[in-house]
Amino acid sequence: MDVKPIIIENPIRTPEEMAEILGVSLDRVEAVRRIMNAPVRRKKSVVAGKTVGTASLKKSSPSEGRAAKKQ
Amino acid sequence: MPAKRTRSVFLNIPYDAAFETLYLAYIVGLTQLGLRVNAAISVPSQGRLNTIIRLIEQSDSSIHDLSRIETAGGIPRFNMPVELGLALYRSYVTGGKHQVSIFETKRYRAQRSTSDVNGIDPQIHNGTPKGVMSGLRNIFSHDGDVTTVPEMLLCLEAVKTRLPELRRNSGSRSLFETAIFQDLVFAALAESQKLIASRI
Repeated sequence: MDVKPIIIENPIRTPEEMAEILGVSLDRVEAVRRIMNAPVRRKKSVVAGKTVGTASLKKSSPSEGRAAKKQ
Repeated sequence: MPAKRTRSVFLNIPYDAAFETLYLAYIVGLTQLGLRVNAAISVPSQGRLNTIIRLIEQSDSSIHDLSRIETAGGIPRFNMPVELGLALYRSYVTGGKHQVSIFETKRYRAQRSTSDVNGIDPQIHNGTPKGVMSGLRNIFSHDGDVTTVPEMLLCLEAVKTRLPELRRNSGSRSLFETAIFQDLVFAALAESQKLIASRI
């Protein structure tokens, strides 16, 4: 069976329009907007697929301190 | 109320913690393509099977992810194939108006596990969000402004970064609950608006 692309004719809705379609209060949308617009407070750095910690908040452990001294 | 009807898609995926990232990828990707996502968790349950049948009837198309139908604790997971069967019947009775798409992790596995649907070429996502987004872009083509796969992935990252706040806001213990599902849709749309605005 050939898969034909499904053409989407409707425009991408705004969150408020979608809330209206879903019957959800606009207050909920406002709360989500606040979260999405807030500056990101912390940033995790990932090395080779492994989360190495919260860059701005993490305190180095004693073992890390020793490793740093060795280097 | 917006004048034009919003095209909708029924989403049939496993709801478990190991699938969270791909679950987010489906919600973000489909939402950014302008679709309304209908899923069993998108509405408060009023009898699961009845809910699923009603949602399939209301949807223009459906997506079935068969990547995790293997046994869990010695028991095979039949929910996804059962819902695929319901959607295939819906497609049959509507003369193909309801379009059915299958996603899998591994190439040729769906042809072996569900050989009755060998006429449908599955989208292979390799278990990655990028694979999911690419598959969605293969199936759905937008008439107007086109959201690219890299843009969809950026949006996914933005939503993932805010998950702790979104969880707190909805009071949901898991991502597979009605309240946070709707909030994830709003979050993806809010990011979409930012993308569209940045192009102008």
